[in-house]
Amino acid sequence: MSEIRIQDLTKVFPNGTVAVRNLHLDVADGELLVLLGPSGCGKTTTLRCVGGLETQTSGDIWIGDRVVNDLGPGERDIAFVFQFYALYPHIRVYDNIAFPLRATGVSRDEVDRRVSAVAETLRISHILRERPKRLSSGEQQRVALGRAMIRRPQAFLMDEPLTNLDAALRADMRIELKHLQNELGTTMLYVTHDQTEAMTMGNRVAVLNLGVLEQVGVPLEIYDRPNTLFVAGFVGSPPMNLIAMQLAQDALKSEDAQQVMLDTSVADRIRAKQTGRELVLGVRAEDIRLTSGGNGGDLRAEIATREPLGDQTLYSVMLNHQLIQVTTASTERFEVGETVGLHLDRSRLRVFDASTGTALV
Amino acid sequence: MNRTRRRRARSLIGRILFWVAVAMILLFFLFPLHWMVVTSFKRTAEVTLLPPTLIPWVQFNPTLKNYVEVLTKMPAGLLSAGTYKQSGFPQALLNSILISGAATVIAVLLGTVAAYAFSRFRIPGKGDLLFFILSTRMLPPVVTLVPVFVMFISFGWRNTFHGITLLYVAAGLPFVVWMMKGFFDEIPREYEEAAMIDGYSRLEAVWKIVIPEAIPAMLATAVFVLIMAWNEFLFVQLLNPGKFTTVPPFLYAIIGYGRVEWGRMAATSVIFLAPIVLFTWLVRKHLLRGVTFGAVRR
Repeated sequence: MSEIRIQDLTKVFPNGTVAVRNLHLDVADGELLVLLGPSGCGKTTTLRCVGGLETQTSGDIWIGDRVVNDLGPGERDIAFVFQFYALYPHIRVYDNIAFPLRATGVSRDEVDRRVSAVAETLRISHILRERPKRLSSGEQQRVALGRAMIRRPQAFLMDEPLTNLDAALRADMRIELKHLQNELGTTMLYVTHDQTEAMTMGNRVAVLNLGVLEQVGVPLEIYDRPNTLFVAGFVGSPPMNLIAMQLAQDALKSEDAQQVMLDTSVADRIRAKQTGRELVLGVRAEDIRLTSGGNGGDLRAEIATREPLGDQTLYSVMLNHQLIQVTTASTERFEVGETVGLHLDRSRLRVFDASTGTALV
Repeated sequence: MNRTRRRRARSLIGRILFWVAVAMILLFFLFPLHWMVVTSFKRTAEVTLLPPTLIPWVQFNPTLKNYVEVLTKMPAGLLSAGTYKQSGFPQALLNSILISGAATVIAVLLGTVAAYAFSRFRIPGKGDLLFFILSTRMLPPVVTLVPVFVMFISFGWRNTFHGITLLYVAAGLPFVVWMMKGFFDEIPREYEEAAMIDGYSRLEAVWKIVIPEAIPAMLATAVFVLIMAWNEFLFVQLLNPGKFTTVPPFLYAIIGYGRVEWGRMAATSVIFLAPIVLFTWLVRKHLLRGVTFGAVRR
């Protein structure tokens, strides 16, 4: 196993679309790094460049201690798991798994031994004689993994491998895949648009948008301290509440002139870094506390909807024509139409510069 | 209860009507075939009887005379009664099989390779090229008869095996390219990409993964090319009147002098029909899969 280094990668397609722009990214040896982003953000293109299925316009890609820019996909010593698995339909599961070994001229006994071992690890020994078409999607997924594992490559590249599974199976496979990755100590570059997968599986998560790396960090860091407005609005369910504000002395002032008081030091830091007057306050749904009456809190708003989720209740409150999401313990109860006060957890607030989209605090 | 019974009755009537309609359509299409087959087993005098006899053994006594004649020797003609000449049919049939077979194999192989390239690679002017290939099928073949004739004379290709074969390859290629491109477009390119990641070259990936997947499509395409070459009359009549003629011109030539030899023609047609029916029957499973290829779940 070895690390992957992506240096200043740019990919421009012949039709002029810039899919990836000046991307720098390192995947450490044995790490599972998730590339997360909406469709069309360049995450799959990045993965395909690393795999050698696309040729980058500029930039270097290292796998282990080699620059692989000019190597074909077969020479890079990597495995690739496709979203649709791409199992060869006309040959049996056994031959599908053995296929990469046969390219290297491994002896028949050795092939047999290694296929059996992999099949046992993945618990697919009983379907080795089947053809892929007869398998369930979960089994197909395992076979695809088996084909990737068999060659003991330097790194695994995974392109949304769980997207085609139903929800329950996806949750199982998530755990299993993570376990397998730990077990084998493989370096893995994992592309997904599903943030649950990203948060639960990634050692680190890299968020991409429009071909640009927005932020890379451990999952909780991405969640708690988004560096950009895009990350704040993309990660989390519900995403971070983003409220337009302006700085007025030591307070943030909303458009309807409500004020959120800040520490002087925080206000000074914002003042020092801000490029324009317009700011955006970011606060997670669980970092807001509601109180009845509306006089006690930082902001005053009206309950618009209530969605009991069982373990907690999700409220939408109307604040100056904008819906703000708030989660509360299910024991707390507010009526639709009631005026409430919003208490914001000062330690967990983010303030963004509205014009650059980057976090100031 | 009453309603279900009524519905069941209605569906029964519907089914009966459906099968009656199917039977009538079949009768309409198969009757000429039946007439041809029974005619091939009739003596000359019985062929033109009115009303016609349609049921062998019951209405007339079948004979193999026509088959024997077309396959070995046939009477030279009315005027020279008693003399026989060697039948040209076995040679014409062999020519038909070799020329159509070779043309089909070559057209399908070349067309498949071209179609793969059109499907997978970035080719400058791809759309124009594809349209050009298709456009060669847009004018009626007879329009090119004279230029092709002149070309064949200047190349010395008249009455050769390779000349007419090449012509059929050229006629079949556009069809193969377009059909196969459609099929390749439906085969996810992840298959080759997976094989290439697994350490195979593109050529190996195509050979080991794509071609096995494309075989039904290739067979389906081959049926159409084969039928086209098999049935072609005009060009071969003009370009290969001699040794390398095929069955359609031969069939035309044995209509007979002085009278029409219906029985002999029918026998020739039945033999001529058999190889195509056999081939189509052999690949029938693939035909269906090949034609419905676009319906695969991705």
